[in-house]
Amino acid sequence: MLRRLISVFRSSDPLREMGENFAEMLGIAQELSLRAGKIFFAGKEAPDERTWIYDQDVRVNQLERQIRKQVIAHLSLSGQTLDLPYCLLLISLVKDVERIGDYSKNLTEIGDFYTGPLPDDELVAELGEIRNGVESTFKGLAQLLGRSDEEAALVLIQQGKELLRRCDSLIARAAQSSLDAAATVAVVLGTRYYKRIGGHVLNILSSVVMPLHKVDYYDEVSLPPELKTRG
Amino acid sequence: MKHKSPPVPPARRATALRSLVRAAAVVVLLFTFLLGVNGLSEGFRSLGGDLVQFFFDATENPFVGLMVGILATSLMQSSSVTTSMIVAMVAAPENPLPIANAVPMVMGANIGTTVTNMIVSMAHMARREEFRRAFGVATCHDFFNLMAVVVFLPLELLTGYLQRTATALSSLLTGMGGMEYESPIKGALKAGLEPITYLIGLVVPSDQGVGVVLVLLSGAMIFTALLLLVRNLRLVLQTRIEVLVSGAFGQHAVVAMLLGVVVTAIVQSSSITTSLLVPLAGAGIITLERAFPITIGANIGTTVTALMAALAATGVNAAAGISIALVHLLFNLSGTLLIYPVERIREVPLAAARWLANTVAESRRWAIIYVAAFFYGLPAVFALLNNVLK
Repeated sequence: MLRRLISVFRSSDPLREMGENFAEMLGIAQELSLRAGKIFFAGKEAPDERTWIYDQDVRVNQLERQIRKQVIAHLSLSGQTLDLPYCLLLISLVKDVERIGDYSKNLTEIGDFYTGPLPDDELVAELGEIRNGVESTFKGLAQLLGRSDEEAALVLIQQGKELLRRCDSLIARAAQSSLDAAATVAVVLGTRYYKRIGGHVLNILSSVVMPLHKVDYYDEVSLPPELKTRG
Repeated sequence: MKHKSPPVPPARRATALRSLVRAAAVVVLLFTFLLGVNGLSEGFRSLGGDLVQFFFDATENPFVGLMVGILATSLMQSSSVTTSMIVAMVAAPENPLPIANAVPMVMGANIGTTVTNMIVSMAHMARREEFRRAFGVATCHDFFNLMAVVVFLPLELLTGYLQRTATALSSLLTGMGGMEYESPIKGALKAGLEPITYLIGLVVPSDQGVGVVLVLLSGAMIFTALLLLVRNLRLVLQTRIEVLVSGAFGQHAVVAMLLGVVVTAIVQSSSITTSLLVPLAGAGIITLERAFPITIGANIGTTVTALMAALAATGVNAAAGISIALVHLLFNLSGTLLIYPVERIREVPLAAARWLANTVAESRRWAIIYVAAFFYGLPAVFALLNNVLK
């Protein structure tokens, strides 16, 4: 009991604690998306790996609720409006991270109805490139978020938007393809989930370049003029 | 890859100069507060027996004393102000308020202080469920104190156990020599009071007149200094308070209670602690059951102010001042020991709070009627009736 009391006295900065929780959440979500991609593309049953993914998704959800509670407690207790934008930003971003966790989980669930490796054709090759692009954008996000590198974020947003366009195009091509129904569904769902994961990564990236009220709107028209020219 | 969060806004670190100014302000306000307590004692002495006798006669009836405590604290929204004034009156070198009269007043102050968080909870009125949760947490403090008074006031009237124990403890403390020592603070307080009394004496010719002005001025000093002190301490210790209060959520009840004591002792106001819980309860961050031990802790922590006032009191009745401050502490400790440990007993104030919260959530006018009647109407009517029926 004494240890608990001392630990409360040792805590120092509520905002930093929220930030640390967010960083943990984002790190888990990235790992989830990487592992889910491996399961999806390998087409093998991986029960242990899937259990790990489910457990970690629960952790992501817990962190989301924890951060929301911390934000409400901080704003209520401190009575400070100075931290309001940061707190609202976190509330918005945790939803994106939580969705990444969910879509990663969904990616592994495709194996429930489509067993075996995906067909070795240009559609799956294209999906593999999208996967690499999404994973690399996620990696870039990890590098720049802490230092708010607007220029690097803008480059990643442009790349990400291109990936999302490729997802739409791939789904249209899959619909016209000669793949069997199960393979088509697997490819379309995989593409769809990667599009969503990529979209949520872009939402988080948009927080680096956009004012709070425009977060999630990463279309070029919504960018501030000074960044539009750089893009 | 180690992830990072969006850059955390820079902490609002006070500059060294600002910290110094705030620290100096705390010292000055504390001195003014203690000066007010001493001034009130001194003023009581100068008032003369006839004038104070009316007040003593009225508060001889313990229920009137209780109502006076409730009304005075509800109006000032601070039990620390009321109890410090009571300490000053009890510690007055001449014409002191008898401890027996002061005990119900202290109990009343405990009830009256709960009005602040009730008012805070009204901010949630527009959203029914939020209001239900917020009001429940606000009102559990009332029911806890009410229950403690229902049990301990008759017990005190029958046995005088609070007064006896407090007097014994106070004798023990003064017997240890600590209180006999003429501390530099006491010397400074005496020195600070002399020019004030002298200046009043220049304007007001009679001794009684000086007493009246000194009582009023001291009351104003206690109220203002404590108000500003609480505000300043809250500003200085904002992050620490936040960390401690939010750290109390989900802790073992004893830890939560201790954190309630600490937070209240450092900000010198139970209303601050309990009022912080109300919006959190409204938002569903903390439940009634979790807020309850913090509230009880705040009840104990608030006794620090009166103790501080008592320790600075000077004169022949200084020990009596310590006794009444200890009565406040013992009463709250007794209430905690009676109500909290046994679940069935603990459920009584909680169930009452839930019932009232449900009632006011269904028909919100009852919240206003309850606050107006319980904290202001009932004590006023009771005091009036007592006066008329005499």
